[in-house]
Amino acid sequence: MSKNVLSERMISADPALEITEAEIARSRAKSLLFMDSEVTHIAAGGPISGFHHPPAKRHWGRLAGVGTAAAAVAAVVVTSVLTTSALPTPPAGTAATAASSTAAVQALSSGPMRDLFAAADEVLVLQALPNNPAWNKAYEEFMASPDTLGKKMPGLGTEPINVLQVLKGSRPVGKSTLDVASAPDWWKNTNIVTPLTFLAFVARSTDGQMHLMGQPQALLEIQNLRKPTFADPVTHKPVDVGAELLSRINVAPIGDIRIDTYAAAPPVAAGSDLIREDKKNTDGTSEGTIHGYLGAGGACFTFQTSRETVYLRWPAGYTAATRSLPQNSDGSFSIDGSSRGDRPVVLNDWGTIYAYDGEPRPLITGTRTTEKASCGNESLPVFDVTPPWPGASPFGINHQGGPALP
Amino acid sequence: MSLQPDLGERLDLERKKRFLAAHAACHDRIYRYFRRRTEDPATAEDLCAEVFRIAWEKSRDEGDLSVLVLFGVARNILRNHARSAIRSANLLVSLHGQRAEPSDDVESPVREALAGLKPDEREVLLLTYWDGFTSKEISDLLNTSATAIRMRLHRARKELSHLLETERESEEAQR
Repeated sequence: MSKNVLSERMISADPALEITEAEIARSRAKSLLFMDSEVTHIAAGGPISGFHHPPAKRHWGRLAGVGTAAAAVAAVVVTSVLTTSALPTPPAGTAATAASSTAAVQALSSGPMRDLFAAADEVLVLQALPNNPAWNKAYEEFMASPDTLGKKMPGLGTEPINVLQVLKGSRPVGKSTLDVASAPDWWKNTNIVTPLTFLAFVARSTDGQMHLMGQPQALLEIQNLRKPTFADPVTHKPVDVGAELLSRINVAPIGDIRIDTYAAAPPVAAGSDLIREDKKNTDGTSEGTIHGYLGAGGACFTFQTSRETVYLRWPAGYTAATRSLPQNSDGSFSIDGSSRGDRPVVLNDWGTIYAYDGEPRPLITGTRTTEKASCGNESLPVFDVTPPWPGASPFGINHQGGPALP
Repeated sequence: MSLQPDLGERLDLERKKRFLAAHAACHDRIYRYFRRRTEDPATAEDLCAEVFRIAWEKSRDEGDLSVLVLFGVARNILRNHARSAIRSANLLVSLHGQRAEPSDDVESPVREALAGLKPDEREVLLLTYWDGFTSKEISDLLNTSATAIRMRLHRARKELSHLLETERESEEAQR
C-alpha cells in the first residue's frame, strides 16, 4: 500500500472528524473556568514545572540523559526564537523609514513628556527585534533546568533594534543595538512580522553606552501605527504623550493601497457565519487558503476551501500592501524562515499585518452577503470578515486584546 | 501609597494574556487528542480541562506554555487516566489507545489494524496522521531522537499496511 493511500485511510479513520463545533465550544468554556479561580491548585506528583516531562527511565549508558532533556526543551525554544542570522532587513513601508536620520533637537515646550524628553540623550521610535543569541542561550538553559519554580527568567541586555524615527539624538535609522536591561520582559514577545513598536527615551551611561532610561514611561508601546496611540508596555493602559510630541511621530504605513471595505470599523458585531475547511490535508490539518491580488487599481483577497471560494471584504480602515515576509525554502511562510519573499498582505486598522497571500487558515468568521464581486478573474460571493477586536493580528498577543482569531 | 496592588494587577494581566494565548493556540488540538484516545466527549472534556488547569498554574511562574509542553502535560494526564481505567478494569480499550466506537463504519478496519500495532508504533502513527506533528516535534514530545521516530514511523506504516492487506485478502476470500 502506498504512503499516500495509507495516509488517506488514516485521515479518514480519524475519530476527531466526528467532533462537532458545539462539543469543542463546550470544552473551550470548561477549560477556561480555572482562570478566574482564587484557589491555588496543587498538582499531585511533583512540581508543575516538570509536569510535561515524561517519567524518567533508567537507561544505563545514557549518561547524557540530562543533556538530551535539555536539548528537547531547547529545541522547543529555538523554534520560537530567532537567531541573529534570521533577523530581518529593516522593515520597509512605514513613513518613518523614509524619514531622514537627522536629529530633531527641538525641545518640547509643554506636555507630560517634556522633562523626560529634555533629560534623554536620544528619543527614538523603534522596533524590538528578536533577542540576541546570548539571551536565547540563557533562556534555553533556564528552561532546561530541572526546576524553574522560584527562579527568575534571564534579564534582557543589549538587544537588536530597528530605529524607525529619531526624535532626538544622532543615531541613524535602521538596525542597531540598545541596552534595554531596564525594559519589561514583554520586550521578548516581539516578532519579525509585526514587531513591537516603542517610543524609547535613551540616555548615555558613564561608559559611553546608550541605555534605555529607567524612569517610568521611558518605554511606551505604540499600538496603533496609523494614528499613534501609546500604552504602558506592562499594564497596556493608555498613556498620553501630549499633542506636541504626538505631532512629531509618524510611523504610519506608506505605499499601502485601497482595499474593498464595508462601512463599520472594528469592533464590528461578531459575524454569525463561518467558512471552514473540513477536508483533511495529508499532514492531518484542515486549512483553507487566503489568496491576495494586488494591482494598480487596488487589491482583493479571497478565501478558498475545497468546497467554495469567497471574496473577502474588510472592516473600514483596512488596506493592502506588499510586504517582505520570512519563508521556508519551498516558499511557504515561516516565522523563522531563512529567506524572504514579497507577498500581498492585508493591513489592519492599526497598520499591522492581518492576513497574507498564501496564508493557510482553518476558518474565517464574518457575515455572508448576497453581493458578488470580482477577484482573480472570478466573480465570487462577498463575505464580510469580522476581526475579533481593534488591532487584531494573527501574529501574536503583542498587539493588544489577546490572541487573534480568524 | 502602596505599589503592591498595581504590581499584582500587572502580573495578573500578563498571566492571563499568556494563558489565553496558549489556550487559543492549543485547546482544539488537545481536545481532539483526547477524543481520539478516550471513551467519550465527557472524558475528553475533563482531561482537557485538567491540562489547562495545570497550564494556568504554570502561567503563575512564567512557565513555558508552548504547544509541545502542553501536549507533554496531556500525555501524562492521559497516562494517569489509562492507569485509573485499568484499575477499574472496565476500560481496556484505553489500553489500546482506541475509542469505544461502533465498528460498522467504513474505516473501522483501520482502527482495528491500529489496535494490532505495538503501542509505541501506534502512537507515532496517531501523532503523525491524526495530531499533525512532524517527526521532529514527536521526537521532542517523546524525548527521543528524530531518527528513532522516523524509523518507528517507517515500521509502523509497514506493519499497518500489512495488517490492512491481510484484512482485505481475508475479506475477499470470504466472498
